[in-house]
Amino acid sequence: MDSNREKMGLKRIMKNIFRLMKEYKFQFIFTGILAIISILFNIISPLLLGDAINILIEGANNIINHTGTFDFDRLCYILLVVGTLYIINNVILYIQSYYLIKTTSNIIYSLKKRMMHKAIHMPMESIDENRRGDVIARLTNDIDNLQTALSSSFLEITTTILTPIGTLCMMLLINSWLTLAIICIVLLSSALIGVIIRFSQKYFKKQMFIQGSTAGQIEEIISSQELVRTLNYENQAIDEFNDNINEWYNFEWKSRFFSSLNTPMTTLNFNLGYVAIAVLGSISVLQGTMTIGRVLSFFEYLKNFTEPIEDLTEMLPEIQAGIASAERIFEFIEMEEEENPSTKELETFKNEITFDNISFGYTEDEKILDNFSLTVKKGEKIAIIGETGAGKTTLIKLLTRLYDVDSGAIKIDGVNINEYDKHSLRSFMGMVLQETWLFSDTIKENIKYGNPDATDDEIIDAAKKANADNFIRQLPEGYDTILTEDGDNISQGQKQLLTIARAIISNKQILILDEATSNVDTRTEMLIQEALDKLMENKTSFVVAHRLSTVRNADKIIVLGKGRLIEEGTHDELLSLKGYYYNTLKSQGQN
Amino acid sequence: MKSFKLETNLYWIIPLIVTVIIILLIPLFRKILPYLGKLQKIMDRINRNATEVLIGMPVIKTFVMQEYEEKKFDKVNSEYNETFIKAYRIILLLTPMLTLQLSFMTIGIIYFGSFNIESGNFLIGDLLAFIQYATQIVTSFLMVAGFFTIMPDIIVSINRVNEIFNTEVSITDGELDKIDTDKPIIEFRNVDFKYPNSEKNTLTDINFKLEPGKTVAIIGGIGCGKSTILNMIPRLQDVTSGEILLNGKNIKNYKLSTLREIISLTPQKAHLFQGTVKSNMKIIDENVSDEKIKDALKRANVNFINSLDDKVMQGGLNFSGGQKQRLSIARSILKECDFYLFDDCFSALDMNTEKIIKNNLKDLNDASILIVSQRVSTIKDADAIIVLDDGKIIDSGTHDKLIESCDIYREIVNSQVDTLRNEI
Repeated sequence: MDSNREKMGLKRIMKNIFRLMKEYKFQFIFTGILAIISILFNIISPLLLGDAINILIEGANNIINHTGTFDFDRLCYILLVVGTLYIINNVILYIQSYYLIKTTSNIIYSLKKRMMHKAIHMPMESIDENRRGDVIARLTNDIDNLQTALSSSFLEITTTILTPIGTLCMMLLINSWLTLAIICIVLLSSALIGVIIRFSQKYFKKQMFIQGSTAGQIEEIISSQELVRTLNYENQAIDEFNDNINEWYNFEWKSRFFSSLNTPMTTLNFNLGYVAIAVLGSISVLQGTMTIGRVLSFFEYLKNFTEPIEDLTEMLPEIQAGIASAERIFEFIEMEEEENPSTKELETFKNEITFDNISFGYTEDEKILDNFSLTVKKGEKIAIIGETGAGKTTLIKLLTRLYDVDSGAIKIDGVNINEYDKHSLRSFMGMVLQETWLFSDTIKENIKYGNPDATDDEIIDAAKKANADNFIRQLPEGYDTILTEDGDNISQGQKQLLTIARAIISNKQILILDEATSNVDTRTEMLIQEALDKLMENKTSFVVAHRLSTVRNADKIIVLGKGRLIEEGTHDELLSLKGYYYNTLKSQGQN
Repeated sequence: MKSFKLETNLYWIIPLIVTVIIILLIPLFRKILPYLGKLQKIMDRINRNATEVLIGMPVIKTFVMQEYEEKKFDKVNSEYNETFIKAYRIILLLTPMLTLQLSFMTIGIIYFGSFNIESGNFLIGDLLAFIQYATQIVTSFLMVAGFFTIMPDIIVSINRVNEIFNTEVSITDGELDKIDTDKPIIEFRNVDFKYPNSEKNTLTDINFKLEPGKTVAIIGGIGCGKSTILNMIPRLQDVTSGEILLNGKNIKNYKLSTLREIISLTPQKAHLFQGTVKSNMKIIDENVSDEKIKDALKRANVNFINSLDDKVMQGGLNFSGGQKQRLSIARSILKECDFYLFDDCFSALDMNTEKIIKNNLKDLNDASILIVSQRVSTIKDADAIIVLDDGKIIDSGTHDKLIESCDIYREIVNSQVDTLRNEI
């Protein structure tokens, strides 16, 4: 996530992957054993088929020489054995791949669980807006890649290593010269394939890069269509796009061309091997050192020998992608969690909240809040106003300890909030934010989020207080209406009413409200205002205010400017100061 | 010697195996396909769930609902896991079943071939060749079958691509490539607008004029059609009935590029392109001088950049909402043209910044300005204010006139300015 961080290195990634697999040691060993058995069968069956052919040849000779016919019973016996072997082999193959899929799927399940746990417990700064897409990508694409790589490559790697070894032993037993010929051919083909892969990888990497930048360009152009059109920028945008696409095309066909050379190359090698076996085999047969059936078995072994290598080269991109994804996944899982060292519970809030000389900045060289101090008595309504970027929202984030102050202290009844368990601190606070966050579930569940133990009556009561009951009842499904993903079925203002209902039902002593600036029509705005007033009754509240009526009704108004407290007091007090507050109102109200 | 033409009655084995394969494949696919659809749906839910959690992090943390969210995610996650394993229990049957058919075929050929060899009309070599050929035929058949399994995906993709190609370009170029005056006027005459699938007009009977040196403002609630009016001027959308006239001629008669040349639209959402501040400004005109850019930036109160070469990340992520709006306004006023259209693009600015910028806009020589907003302070001093409600113009005039004559306008003003005006 941090671009400056050192790359993990293949060794650590593999170590992590093995650690994952270790938890499922027995499953992997089990599938490994099954793989070995199935490979043994694969090695034995060509031998038996060769025997069957030998019987036919003998029989044919017998018929020609009129010395009898072939051993029909033995033939049937061998075929029966081979058939049974095939059936058992495929059953084993099935069990093996099923177990493997099951195991990897379980691994992936627990990885996802761990990632989500991490995402939920990460400190806020690691998960701000810009990184959401990245986190989602890790949770979906990367997980997918890893799953594919794990399930297919484990099988493939075991067979690729074991099959040639087993086959090699059998071949050496039968005929060492032929074996030598095949080894030469396989080595040659591997070297050729290696060269080709290097070429196609080079272009593949370039293609991936271009693909990324083209996607970025498309997104930019589509999302700012109105601009592109009204600025008569269409042709330039198309030219730019065409350049990208052309380059993409160039790299893609080159990388595809080289990787498609693989197939004819391996076929060529296979055929060379075939010819070599045919020639050398015939000579051996004539010399009487080998039977025809054994030559035929050799043809099968050749296939056993070259196929795994071909499969492996085909899977290489998958494995590479899997490793890259594994790195991103482990990097995420190893990120630091939000610290919450204290277990001391905040039990009561009696008197006051004090901000004592606090300073804070998201980065080291930019202070958002600078030596800010304030005392708030229980039950007071505080309106916070100031220009964009003055630190209003930041103040709220510090109070809830979504972020921690750099210096100074925030105290509740004289005790630094850093001494409390974060969760107990937050359980005293309710929130209504500008960004109305509701999840795709029923309206009822969304309100209940404020208090999971709430009864239906309590939910309806809260909705009534929040002026939401009316519109909810007008919806076809009422309280069981499911909010769609983008919340299209209710308006922005109605969403705000729901978040207010959620805050009302949570019944917290300290309230944090961030008023929405726009996007709500006048009538809904009045409903929201009324609901907020009800919500704030008898609570201590901090309101980032935009509406003047809210500001006017506050017990204390604080004006923030460049992270400092510029003015503080009631509406009347501030007006008589004739400072920032006075001027703002004047500019808004002047005729 | 026998000829190489394979004279044998073994051919029936091939269609038999192919039939067996088909009979096995059909019920398997019937079972597999629903699982795949279900998996896709659960996957969507996982994505949605994760996105929600990431966006709602402040809420989750303050409501201390971390465990609840983890449990919720665990539910979809394990549902996916279970469905995945169930699906693959069937999918994995495919390969062993098919390879088994191939093996059976080889055994069958040897067995039945032995009778042919016994009768003498078949040589060993012929038998081996036959095995090879039969294997090739059946493998090819399997490849074709494999192709058919991806057919549904291909068809869906083709349809989606075709959808784009088949979309008719509804907005076509006109003929006129010159505007025969330096002081053009735009007039809306009885304009209606309706979205293709909507039953109700978005805009009904809109009439107003944009004249040189004058500022017109439109105020109204969300979804009342304000932005649509703006978009119709550079023909991003075309009127459903009525007409928009440029110097007395329907704007549809002009070439799009000619029409758009004289218009500068600042959209509601400030879009910045990846590059530098300068490259963003130069979109207007490749050859514009640094002085002019600096002047425009100054007028839009862009006081937060170090130099014109400051980097702009994709989507302008390295700027705040208000800063993006200011850069976007600067870009719009850099364009020298006759009509400046501002679509609620002051919304993220505080009152003071807005005031500074609006003051600077006054010397956009003789251009005509159209501002859309929900904020009274933004539009108060316009030459004419149009009050839009539910797609209709209910009143228009100056601020003073409307405050007397228009109830809705007064209601909007009161909700925003409150009664403070009288106290100051």
